[in-house]
Amino acid sequence: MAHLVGAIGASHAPSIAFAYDAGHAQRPEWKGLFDAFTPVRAWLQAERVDTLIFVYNDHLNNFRFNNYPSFALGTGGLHPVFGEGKVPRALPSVPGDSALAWHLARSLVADEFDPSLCLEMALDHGVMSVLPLLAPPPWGVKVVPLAVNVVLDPMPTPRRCWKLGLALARAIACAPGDARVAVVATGGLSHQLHGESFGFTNPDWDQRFLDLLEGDPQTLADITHEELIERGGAEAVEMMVWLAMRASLGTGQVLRRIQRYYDAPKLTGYGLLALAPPI
Amino acid sequence: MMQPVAESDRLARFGPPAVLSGVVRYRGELAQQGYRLNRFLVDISQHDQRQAYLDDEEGAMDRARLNEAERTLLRNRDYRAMLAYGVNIYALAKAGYVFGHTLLEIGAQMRQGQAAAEQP
Repeated sequence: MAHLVGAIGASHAPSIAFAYDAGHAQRPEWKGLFDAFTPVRAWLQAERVDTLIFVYNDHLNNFRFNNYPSFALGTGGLHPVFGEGKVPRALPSVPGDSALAWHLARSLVADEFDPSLCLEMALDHGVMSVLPLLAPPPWGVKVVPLAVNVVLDPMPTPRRCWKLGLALARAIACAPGDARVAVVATGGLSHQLHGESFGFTNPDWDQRFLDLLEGDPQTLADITHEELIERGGAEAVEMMVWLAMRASLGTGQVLRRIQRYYDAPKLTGYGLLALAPPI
Repeated sequence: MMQPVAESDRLARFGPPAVLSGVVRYRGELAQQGYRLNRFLVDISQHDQRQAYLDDEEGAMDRARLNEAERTLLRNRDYRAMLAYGVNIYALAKAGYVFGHTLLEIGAQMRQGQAAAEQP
C-alpha cells in the first residue's frame, strides 16, 4: 500500500510564480515566504516523497466555462505548464503518476466522489506557483492534479472538501505499490480581487483559520461559503480546499507541525502549513 | 461522543465578519449572461491571439458576434461594468495584459468607482 507522509497547505498566486521566474526569492518582499518553504522541501526529500496530490483550482486555463467540473482528476503521464503572463514560463512539463491517479479515480468513484476524468491536463499557477518551491525543476516528484470548482456557483461545500480529504486518505491507504505520497492543497488565504474592497486581506481571520485547521478542523469543516467570504473576501472562498489536505490526515487533533508561516504583504494573505501524522 | 458545537460558539470560533463592499457572487445565471464575453476575453489573452485583437478590435468583436452592450464595455475598458455584466475576475485578470493594465490597475479602477459613487 502507498504511504501518506503528510499534508501541506499553501497559498498560490501569479505573483509567486513571477517572483520565482524572475529570481526574486531573496528580495526583502519575498524572502520570508520563499525561505519558509526550505524546511518543507527538506522534509519532503528526507521522507523520499514520490508523488504529490495537488488539490487546487484552475483559473480559466485548463477549464473554461463551456465545461466546468466540480472535481477533476488529471490522470496523464506528463502535465504541460501554462504561461499566464506576457511570455510562456521556462519550466519543463511535470511528470504525472498515471498508475496512482487511476487508482484514485476508481477509489473515489467507489466512495461516491465522481471527479471528471482528465486524461490530459495542463497546470496553471494553482499548482505551478507552489510546486517549484516544494520540489524545484527538474521536479523529482510526480504530480496528480485534482481540481476543485471554487469559482462558479454552485460550488462544492467546505464539508464536501473535508470529505474529499477523507476519501483521499482511504484511497491512498489501499493503493497498490509502495509509493510515498503527500497531499497538497493550494489557495487563499484572504483576498478580495474585485469591487470596492479590492485588495482586502484579513490577517486575524487567516491566523484563526490556521489555528482551527490544526486543532479544531471539524468545526472549520462546518463553515459556509458565505462565512468564508465575509471573513476572507470573495476569492478567498478557495480556502475551503485546505480542508481536504487536513482531512487526509484524519480527524485526530494531535499532529506533527513541520512548518507554519504567515504574512500578508500584498494582495493576498500568504500561508504555509505542513503537517505530518504523529510518530 | 463529541458534543455538537452550538451555533453561537461556532461563530465565536470563526471570529467577526469583515465589512466588504462590492462583492459579486459569481452565480450561474450571471455567468450565463457573461459567457460569450468571458470566452472572448480568455481567447484574446492567448499568446497567439493577442496581437490580432489589438490590430483590429472591431473585426475581432465582429467575428465573435458580440452584442452592442458587450462591445461598449470592451471599447470603454470599463472593468466595473464588465464584472456587473457577468465577466469573471480571472478572465478579466488575463485580458488585462492585452489592455495594458495590471490586476493592480484594474483594482484601482474598481476602488475609484467607489470614490466617484460617493460624490454628492
